[in-house]
Amino acid sequence: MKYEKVLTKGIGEVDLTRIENYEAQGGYQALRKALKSMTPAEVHEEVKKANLRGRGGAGFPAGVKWGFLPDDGRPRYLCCNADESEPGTFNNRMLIEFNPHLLIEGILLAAYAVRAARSFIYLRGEFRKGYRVLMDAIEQARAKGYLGDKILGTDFSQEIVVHRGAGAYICGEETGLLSSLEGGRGEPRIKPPFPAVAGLYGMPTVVNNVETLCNVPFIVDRGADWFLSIGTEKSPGTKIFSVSGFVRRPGNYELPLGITLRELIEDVAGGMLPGSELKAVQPGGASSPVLLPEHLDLPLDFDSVQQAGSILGTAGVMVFDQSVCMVRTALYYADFFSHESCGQCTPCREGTAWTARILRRLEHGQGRPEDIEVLKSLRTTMSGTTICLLSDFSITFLQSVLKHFAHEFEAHIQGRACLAERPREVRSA
Amino acid sequence: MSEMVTLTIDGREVQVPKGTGLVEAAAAAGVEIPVFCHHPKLDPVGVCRMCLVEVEGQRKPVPACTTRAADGMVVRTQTPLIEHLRKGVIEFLLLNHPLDCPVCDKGGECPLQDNTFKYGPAVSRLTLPKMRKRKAVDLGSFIIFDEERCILCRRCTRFDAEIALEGNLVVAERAHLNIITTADGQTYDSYFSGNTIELCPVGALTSKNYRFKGRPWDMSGAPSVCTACPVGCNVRLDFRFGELMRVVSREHPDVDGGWLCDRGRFNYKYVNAENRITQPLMRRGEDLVPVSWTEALMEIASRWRALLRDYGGDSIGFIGGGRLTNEEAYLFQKLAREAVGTPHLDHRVGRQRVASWDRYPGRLTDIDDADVILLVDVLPAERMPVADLRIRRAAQRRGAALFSVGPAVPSYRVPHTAIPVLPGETAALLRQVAQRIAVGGPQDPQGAGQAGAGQDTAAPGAAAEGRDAVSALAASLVRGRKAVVVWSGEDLEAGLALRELLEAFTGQAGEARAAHVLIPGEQANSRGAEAMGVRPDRLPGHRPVAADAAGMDTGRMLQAAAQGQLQSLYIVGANVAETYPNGVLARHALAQVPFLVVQDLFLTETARYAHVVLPAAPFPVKTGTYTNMEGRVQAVAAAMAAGDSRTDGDIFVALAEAMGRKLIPSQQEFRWEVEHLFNTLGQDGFLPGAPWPTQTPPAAAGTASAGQEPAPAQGHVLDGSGADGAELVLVAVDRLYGGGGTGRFDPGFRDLQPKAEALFHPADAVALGVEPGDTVTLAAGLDALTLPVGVAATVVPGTVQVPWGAPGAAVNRLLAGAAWTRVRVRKRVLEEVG
Amino acid sequence: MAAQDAARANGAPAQPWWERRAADIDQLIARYPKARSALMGLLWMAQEERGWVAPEDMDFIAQRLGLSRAYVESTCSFYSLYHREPVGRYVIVVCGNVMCGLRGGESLVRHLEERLGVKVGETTPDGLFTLLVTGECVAACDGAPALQINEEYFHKVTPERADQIVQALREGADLVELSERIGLTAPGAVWEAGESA
Ligand SMILES: Cc1cc2nc3c(=O)[nH]c(=O)nc-3n(C[C@H](O)[C@H](O)[C@H](O)COP(=O)(O)O)c2cc1C
Ligand code: SF4
Ligand code: FES
Repeated sequence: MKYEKVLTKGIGEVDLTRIENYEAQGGYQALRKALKSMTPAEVHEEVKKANLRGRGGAGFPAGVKWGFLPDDGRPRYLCCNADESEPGTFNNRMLIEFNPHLLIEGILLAAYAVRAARSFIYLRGEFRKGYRVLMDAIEQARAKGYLGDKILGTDFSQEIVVHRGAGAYICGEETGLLSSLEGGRGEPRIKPPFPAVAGLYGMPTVVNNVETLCNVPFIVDRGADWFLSIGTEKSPGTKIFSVSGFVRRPGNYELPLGITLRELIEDVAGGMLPGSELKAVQPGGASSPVLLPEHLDLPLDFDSVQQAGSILGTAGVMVFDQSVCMVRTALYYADFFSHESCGQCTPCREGTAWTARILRRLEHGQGRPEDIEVLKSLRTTMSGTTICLLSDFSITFLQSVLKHFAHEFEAHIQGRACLAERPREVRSA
Repeated sequence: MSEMVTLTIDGREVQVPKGTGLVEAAAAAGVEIPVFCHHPKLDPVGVCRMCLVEVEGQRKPVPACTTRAADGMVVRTQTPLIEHLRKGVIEFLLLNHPLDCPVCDKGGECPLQDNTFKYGPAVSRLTLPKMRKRKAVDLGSFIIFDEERCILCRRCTRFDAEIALEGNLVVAERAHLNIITTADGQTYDSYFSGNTIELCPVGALTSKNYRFKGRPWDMSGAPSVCTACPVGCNVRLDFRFGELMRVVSREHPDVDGGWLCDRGRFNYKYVNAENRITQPLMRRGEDLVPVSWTEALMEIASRWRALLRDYGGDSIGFIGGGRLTNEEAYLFQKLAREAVGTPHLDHRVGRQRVASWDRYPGRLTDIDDADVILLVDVLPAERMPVADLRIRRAAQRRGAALFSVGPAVPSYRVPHTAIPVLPGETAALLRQVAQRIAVGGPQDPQGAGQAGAGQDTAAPGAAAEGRDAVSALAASLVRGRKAVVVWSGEDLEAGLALRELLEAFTGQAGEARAAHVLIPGEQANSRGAEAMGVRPDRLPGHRPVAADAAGMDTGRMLQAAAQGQLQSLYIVGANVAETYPNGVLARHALAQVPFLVVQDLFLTETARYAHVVLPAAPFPVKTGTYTNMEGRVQAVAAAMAAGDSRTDGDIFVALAEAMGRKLIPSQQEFRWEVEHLFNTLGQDGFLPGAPWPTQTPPAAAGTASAGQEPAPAQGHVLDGSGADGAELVLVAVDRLYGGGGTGRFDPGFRDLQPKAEALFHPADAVALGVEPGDTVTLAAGLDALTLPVGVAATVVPGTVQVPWGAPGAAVNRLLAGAAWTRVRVRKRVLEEVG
Repeated sequence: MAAQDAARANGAPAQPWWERRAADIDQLIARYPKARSALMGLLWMAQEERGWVAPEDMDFIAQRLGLSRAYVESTCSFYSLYHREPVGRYVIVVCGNVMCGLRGGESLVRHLEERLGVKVGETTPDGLFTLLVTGECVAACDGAPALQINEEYFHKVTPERADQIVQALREGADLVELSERIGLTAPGAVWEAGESA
């Protein structure tokens, strides 16, 4: 492999769920270093300098976010967002199941930097194995004095509470996560106030993604400059791309940000499957607008992808071939979002359901010409009008395919066979 | 506090207090921002998205309802984008809305209709069949829920969660399956459910009573005051062709805060003559037959004249007054003292001894910023429901320390510490607390305070372990600056102890302490009757009667009547047979007295004994004033015609006339007379409370003066003693829907009467070998009650609870003059029952 | 799984799980700054004990945390993984999101319906399997089509492999061990299998 693995180093080769193996490849050195020789402010400073951008989708610099915490003596909390449920994304799951100590070390360092009273991992309910692994890893770490009271003999103490979700995509949204963590329905909250000011139990709270936090130990250990030397100027560091779809080697690949789509698909993922040719790509999960073959040489970093009209998001790269019907794909997502909306906001609750019903009828070949207009009009009424971004997310892909693959929609309306080569049966249930 | 900020809305500059919401700020600027989920009395949630506006510097439109006005803010509410988004929201809301406005009760007063008309799209673009949901779901005793009309604004669930603080009504499921519902198998039964009907911005929640009855536009509303309890919530009575159709809130911020309880809102059908007596009745042998007013009045006048001649005025006793207006109560005592010339009159017809107390005057709004709220021998939800909402909110929102002392534990979901005691032990406990305060409270107030704040782990309302609960109360009273006490006004000994406690509290060194005592009257206008001198020992304005001239109180009157020493009783708006805490004595007296006149709305248990029954008119017919539990004088004007019945006031005047006396020179002069009285008495519309009872004449046997019976033995949890049962202390607990005629005679309420049952503490139940399903006999004095068994952990060990005023279980039969007694409890075995 | 129901089945007096696991419950609650946060954990516990969350479980949880029964139900109903009525011993959830759907998930569902003789949403008569399809992506897109059984993963589930898994469970295989052995969930394992597919 011509790129150095950082977060994924050792995965698939050694059993990193055993703490000694993790230590053997330098694990917990960063924690030791920070606690012995750095103040919380210095750790924070290093992360800020490294311009570590959030890996959960928004790409917001973690160091800056930590800086928002008011210094008013109230207890602060750190929440690790491990609800990974953006369709097409599966790198957090791998990190948790195969490199749990890295996450724990990252959380401890972040907790130290922001002086958190307690840390929580909001773990997706489906990750039952991840739960076992994390609980076991936490006990191993405790046994070695990395976690609990007076860590490594310093007066830094920290507990990590693993909180299991139970099947609700919206709990990945940071405020929905907090509502859920407080023992209620995972309904997002109006921002402002932002979690940094009034989060868990109304206290200052940091919410960071698993992968984001897993970067912290290396930044602390090797320094911000090393981190800045990887990736692009504005998007430093590596990113774990979750590649899926019609390629030979779907999987998680840790690569420097800014590598091109072509390199990712053609080299790293082994190219398209035999007989498949590239039709469209979603670079950042369900809510990212499609990229087209013409974008193959686009560098995959936060800003370039944005300029190309999509988003890097979670870097869940979904590769579609000519066999994929875009109407049907849009229907999958519509069903998903209309099932996962929390239901608070009128446009989201009603709009997602309406979209799904229209697309289902279209997909059945009974669409009406006016359907297209209605679907397009939702762009204004469903985005920027709700409490959280799920509503926006629910139509971005749809809008992009309405634009780039309009003919497929027309074909369905005219009752002609689906344009995709191998039409598939309508999904059950 | 109210620092002002200046902002611009649609080009108009406006000044509002800092923190004002944009919806209100816009209104101040004369700009309407349409809303659905927003309601001024509920916390903003910003879910309907109807109120989106553009704010300069914000890249997305923001909800006006959750955005606070800030200095220099520039807001636009009429841009093309906003208009487009409003159309969008309405289109979304109407997508699956049945649009059955023609048959919807809300039609004509429906925000959804209005907003659609003003801001909605011309046509719906839905070309799919509407998604169906359930219609006419039976949500609770008074409410029908139409799921298809619901727009999920959540006003109803927020009312339940923020105001009623009960957690009965919730949103369930997710996304478009969101549904308003209750716990599986439970109905929405809250004393406050009706408020959700008024809050609902569509026709989803409708009243069973009012359903399909009338449309807003053919109804006429009249302002009035609720007479169902001493809070005196302000209401609007909606009539249709002279028939009372519904009762809705007419917000008075300091009294009801815009809320009503379900009794006040729904208990009105009796007004429309159903089950009411509308003609005078006179006894002919066994039965009571209708007669003309003249005949009835003449009969009474002649009998009384004869009695005056043969026995003198004090052979006649007057009982009642707490249901009358202030003016009527004034006339009532005038009729007694001047026209008839008897000193025997008393408005106290139940367990309550005092309806007010001038020592620590309080207003309902004092609850709002109290540090400590102490409930003494009272269940506020049952006696002053809407005022209880203030208590709950203060405890939840402001962290006011809420304590209850008494033999019945209130069921709160808000943080609350219960100090259960056996009846009669209240005074002793209050004195304990007083002493602790005197010695500067417990060592560790904070720690002790926790007993009240255990809501995180323990279920709220859990009775804290005796001792720490007491020190917690003491600690709160040491920490707190302002204390509000709600007291039943029953056990005078507890009242004395309360005085000592509050003196200790206010006497503490350091910052000034304020104490306020609120007493919910037993009848809606008990406090007014008291102030108008409907007492044997008090004249209007609480002026004392010379000790030697004082007449008999209710207890002694009944005693005298039973012993043939009274020739006639005139009972007005009172059902003493069931409310006087010595049912045996009361019934005996009613049967014995040679000439009994009863004036009431209904043919009550008491009225059945009468020789003459006079049909009184219901409250909407009356003009006058009522005094609520805080002393507030509130005026009402007649809103409907009397029909064949007459107002109590008119009856008093007519009676006097029939006896050849003139009670009032003229309406005009009478009004002056009363106004003068009020002016000399009260300040700014409030009447002062009564001074502490000066001379409490020694109680004749079986009468209720001061808690004189020995405090019950420390009976606590039973040893399964004796086959012929064991002795427990009977506690008669108030129930909002129990007691009074209006509840029992109202078709809408008959099924909601409290269930007659004997409630035991689990441990006692075990000791007695009884469980739910069994029946027990409670015996005391000359009488016994047989009741089904219930078990509840909230019952104080050593006591058995029976609801007060449950039909078929007149618990007052067991009492001997006080609010409690000891009873022998025996399990009924089958052969006995069968 | 459904320990309590099992206990009832063989006549043993069913002591409610919350009495048996009182210590675990206290420990769970103690983890959080505020007790209410333990609500989801307690619902999970109930489901582990019974296989689903029964009304009496919600009553207990409400009482234990000082919440209203309606609140507990409302919260429970927000989360798809809590079963509010009885389910089979093994709940098979096929990923119904895009990637699995496009890479064979549809036919996998139909195959399982035939093999198990039930429709999606139903439970086999022997009470062993409940078949569900989730709209959520289970985060195994590189192993499409994927499914979960009681939240244990199985990747690249071809019809043949599906039969293999169902058979193994019928024969009483240990679920966790089975997922580890033939779940193809390890990184790398997936695309090797993927290539040969
Ligand atoms: C509908 C929705 C779903 C989301 N799901 C996730 C998720 O599953 N995992 C995640 O880390 N962030 C998710 N996010 C982003 C979080 O809100 C938040 O921005 C992120 O966890 C911050 O962490 P980061 O700054 O380290 O990326 C989601 C956001 C939205 C609007
Ligand atoms: S946008 Fe959708 S998911 Fe987000 S809060 Fe509103 S209703 Fe819930
Ligand atoms: S009124 Fe503001 S969102 Fe509903």
